[in-house]
Amino acid sequence: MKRTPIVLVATVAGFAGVLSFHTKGTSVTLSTVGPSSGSGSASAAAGGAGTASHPSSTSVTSGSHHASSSSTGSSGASSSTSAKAGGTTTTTAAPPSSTAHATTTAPAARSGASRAPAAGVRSVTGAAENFGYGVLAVKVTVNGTKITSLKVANLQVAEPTSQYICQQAIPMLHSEVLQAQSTRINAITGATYTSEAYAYSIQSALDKLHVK
Amino acid sequence: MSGGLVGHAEVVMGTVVSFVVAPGALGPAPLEAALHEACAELHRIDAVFSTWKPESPISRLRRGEVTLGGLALEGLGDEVAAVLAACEGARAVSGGCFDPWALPGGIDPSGYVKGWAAGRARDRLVDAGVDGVLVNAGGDIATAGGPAPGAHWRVGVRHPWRADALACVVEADGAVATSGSYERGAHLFDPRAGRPSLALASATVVGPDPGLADAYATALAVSGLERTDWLPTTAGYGAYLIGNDGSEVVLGEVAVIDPAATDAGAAPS
Repeated sequence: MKRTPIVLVATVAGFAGVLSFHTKGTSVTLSTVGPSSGSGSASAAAGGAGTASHPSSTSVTSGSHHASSSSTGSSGASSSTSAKAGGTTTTTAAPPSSTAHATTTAPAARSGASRAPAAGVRSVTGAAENFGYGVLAVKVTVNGTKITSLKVANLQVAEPTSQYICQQAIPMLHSEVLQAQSTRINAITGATYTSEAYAYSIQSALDKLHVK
Repeated sequence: MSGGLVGHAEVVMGTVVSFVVAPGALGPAPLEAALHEACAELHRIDAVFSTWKPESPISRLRRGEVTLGGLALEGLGDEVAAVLAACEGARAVSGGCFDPWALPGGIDPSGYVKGWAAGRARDRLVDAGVDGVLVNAGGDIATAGGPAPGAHWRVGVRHPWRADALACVVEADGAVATSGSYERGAHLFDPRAGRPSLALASATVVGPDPGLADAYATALAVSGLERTDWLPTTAGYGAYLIGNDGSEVVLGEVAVIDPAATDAGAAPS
């Protein structure tokens, strides 16, 4: 039994880690498939440590953090409550094969929408996500298609305990998204609602920014 | 290994459910169809069992607006009854440490349903013929096969106090689930004491059935280190527990990986 200081974790990193770990020639889709929506899955960008040249990857860099593999692809997984309820707002249903080989496909072409990433520094605040114990919204700043900053724009938590916990957890989540290291594990258990809300809010911000 | 893994993430059940699939011989189109089917199943289960949705059958049951018999008339009775029967079984095995009937607000099988749903989604992909699949429903994990022939799915158990660390990495063979009081605060409710419990910092259960692993993890986190003998280790369940004092206990068989001995530990610190 060992306690090992692997740097990585929580859902965001687990999420990103899982995605990034598998991106070498594989497909990563991130989508909201409604039970009967028929909208299919919207493809999402798949960044990876080994796919730095991926045209649609969202390379994540910040300060001393090394650029890495956060697969913060965007898609119809727009985190609004209505989308979760099944009313998807996806762009178009990309066939899986196009996602699987997206490394040679421009994101705009792949998404079927004329949404070429704009240049320059832009910021947007993601949807306020309810995580059961409060509401969390994340402000994402991108330069072109690179995330350069993540800030908590809105955090409402009722109980003092949850407040304390969030204050502890959120700075760590930031660094996870910005580092998103690839570790050879397939999943993380012990994940939490806070980090999920965080992931959704970032996702919705990226959707608004049309960063693919 | 040339066989690439395919990932998918689905926003459902108030969490992100992520899939990792080793497709084997299954082509992209049938794989996509199977993933779609698995996700549709998750959304369907959410619509029936979500206690957050006031219109869900389970919410109506909680409010006493409908009985199991009434749900049967709507064609939902069998499934709800089967889930409640499984919960009843887990309650008996755990000596009441898992008890969806003792929670404030009425019957709440959520401690079983998330793992069970992950298992249902997994089964759709197994039925489609994939070599391996891992479904992670917010930390409740169902697996089949492995990422490559002869390999096991590896699951990192989050460290209870250090968000940047794993407490350990375990091999999954069927199910892994973790319950703990960290980050979310005292969200576990001790049905015996009628109050929130902080008996363990983290309880991870491995075993064959995802729903039961989920329920047993919840029960262990409530029952604490003093009372663990109820865990059905002979039925293939094992547990990795971290006490509030940092002590670690393993019950039954848990395949713990030493990251230092594998490339799993290669992450820079």
